[in-house]
Amino acid sequence: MTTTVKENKQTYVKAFEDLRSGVFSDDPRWLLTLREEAIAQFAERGFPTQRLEDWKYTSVDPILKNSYRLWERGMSHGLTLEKLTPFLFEESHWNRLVFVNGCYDASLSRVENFPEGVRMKSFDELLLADDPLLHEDTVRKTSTGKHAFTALNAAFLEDGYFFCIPQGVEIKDPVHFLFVTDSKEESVLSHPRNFVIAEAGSRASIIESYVSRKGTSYFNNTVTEFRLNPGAHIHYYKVQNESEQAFHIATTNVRQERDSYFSSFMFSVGGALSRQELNVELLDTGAECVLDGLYLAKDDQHVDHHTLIDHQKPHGTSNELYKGILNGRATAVFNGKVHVHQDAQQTDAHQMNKNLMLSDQAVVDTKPQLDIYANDVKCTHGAAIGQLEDLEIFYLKSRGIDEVMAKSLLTYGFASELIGRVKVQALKERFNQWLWQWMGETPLLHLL
Amino acid sequence: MLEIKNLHVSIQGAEILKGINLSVKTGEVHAIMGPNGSGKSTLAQVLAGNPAYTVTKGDVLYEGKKLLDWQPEVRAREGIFLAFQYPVGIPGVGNAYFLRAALNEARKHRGLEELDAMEFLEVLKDKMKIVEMDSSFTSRPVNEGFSGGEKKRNEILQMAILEPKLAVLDETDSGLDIDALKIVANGVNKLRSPERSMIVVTHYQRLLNYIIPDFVHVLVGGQIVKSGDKELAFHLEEKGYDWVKEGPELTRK
Repeated sequence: MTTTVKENKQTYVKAFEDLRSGVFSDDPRWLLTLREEAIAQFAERGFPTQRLEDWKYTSVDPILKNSYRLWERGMSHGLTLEKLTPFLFEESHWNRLVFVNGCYDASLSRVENFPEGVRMKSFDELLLADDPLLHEDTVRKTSTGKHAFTALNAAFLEDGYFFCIPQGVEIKDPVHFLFVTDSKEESVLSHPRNFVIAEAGSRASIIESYVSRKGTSYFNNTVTEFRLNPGAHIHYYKVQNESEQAFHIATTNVRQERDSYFSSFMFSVGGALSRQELNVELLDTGAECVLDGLYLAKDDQHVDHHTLIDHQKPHGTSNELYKGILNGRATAVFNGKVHVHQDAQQTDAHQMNKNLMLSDQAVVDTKPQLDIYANDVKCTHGAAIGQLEDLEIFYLKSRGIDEVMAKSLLTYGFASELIGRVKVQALKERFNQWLWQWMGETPLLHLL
Repeated sequence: MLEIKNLHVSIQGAEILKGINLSVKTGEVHAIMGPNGSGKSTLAQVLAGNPAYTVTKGDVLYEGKKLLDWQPEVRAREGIFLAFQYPVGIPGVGNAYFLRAALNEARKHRGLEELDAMEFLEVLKDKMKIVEMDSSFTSRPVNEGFSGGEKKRNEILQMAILEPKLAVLDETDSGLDIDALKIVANGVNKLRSPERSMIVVTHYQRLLNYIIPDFVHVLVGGQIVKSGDKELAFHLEEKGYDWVKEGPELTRK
């Protein structure tokens, strides 16, 4: 059965009712309840309009104009491991789960040699096996969220990844969750929902990437939930390299316990329209987060980053740096909110957004916000929008370097501060490569 | 090798250079001195091709060719080098990478083979001795986190590597303490050669104690009001610029 949705919320609600009496009817009771609550919320809210402050600069109309085929278990695809090579890493021994058109594919995945107790599974696998992990609060009480898209994700949720690192375990190599869209004719709409549970004192690096093999239109509406128990240490790299005609709406929720550490790097280069929300709650004392982001947009691309850092208890630290490079008629939004509760004394919070405009037609709306209710804190925030300096270009030209390369080197220089912070070498090189390709140059690596 | 004829230059509508005439022969070192705002840095920038300045009148011949028709990168590849007063930092791009890219552009232009990383490293090691730089400079990003003195040394290192026919040094002494000044001036002196001309732009006579010029020109109000040999610099130091400010028309060469 093919279920198609388009335009308004009624078609989505109707599609849900069809699935509710169809494939969803086999779901366990708790999941059905979650779905029903979520679709009710969605029906009540509808899609966000630009009248809402949070969506002022991002219109979802282009997403709704398209019609989509909803995810279906076992949809066939012709992908082989060989075709995935450009999206994998040389270090092919890294463990990975591969999802094609939103659907887990075991034959393309690799899960080997993990320390005992590590669980790396697809949500669908766990569901079929009625795995006890599904009884975790993180799953059962997963959020239906603040807006239509998170609610839709919960209502239609079918697959996604589940990664659980037991207490005190350190996983040395990064793990990779790869979402490939490879639809031929129809636009696919998928709703991955992912869970990461890092038990006390565990450590891991996670790469979650969204890519496409063809320049087609489709829509990924994703949610990823993190729980970091005391002392857990997670590096999270999110790669949004969707097709230039694709839509990507992502919500990442992070709950951090005492003395836990979470770093994220949002690399955003693809998509006709993308929006990524990152909400980090520092629930207990001594928690620390480092949020980095690099977005590249050109032509008519629209890229939106919303972040919320919620300091609830004392001695929390947050450092946020998002940089954007815009060309053509691209538009970008940065909205970063840091909320320091009355209880969160001795908070150290720093937030910065910088934008490099390579064309006169590109537009950025940036809004860093600080809400502070504690009186003994160290907080800074700021935003900057600039262009390449003529004098800098002249300096390089005066050394015999032509203008195009001079601009590329300076643009690279702007981004390199962030890329230099990527701790996974293979990923750092990939980001560099994509950046040079984005600039229309042969990739120059190892410039240092 | 360089003929500047009646050069008039404006920036944002304001005329800065008002008819400069200057002739530099191969191997000569000319010092351009002058008070603040006299136009001496403008002259240096215009020779290198800074697009912020507009030439409204006059001409510059470099080896008999019209210099002003060339883009800055072409001038560089043809052998003109400007040592900046305020060198620009380039984060993420290592000094060695940058220098090799610059050298290879010039080599390509001259029909020479490009140097690979290993060959270049040999050249670099040799040249770094000229400005007493240690190897840590090669892997650091260009001028990022460099002290003022390091930036100036790095400019002279670039000059040593690019081996220009005409080097223009713009206030290379500014902001340097005496030790750094000696290192920079020593480097410049090692690069003096019968095949290389230099134009040294400076506010103070101090630098000319170390880099002894063949000729000294005094620039005031956008015109060269006095020219002479190195003795002129000492007179200026003693008497100040007011001494030459009167009657530019009379003293113009």
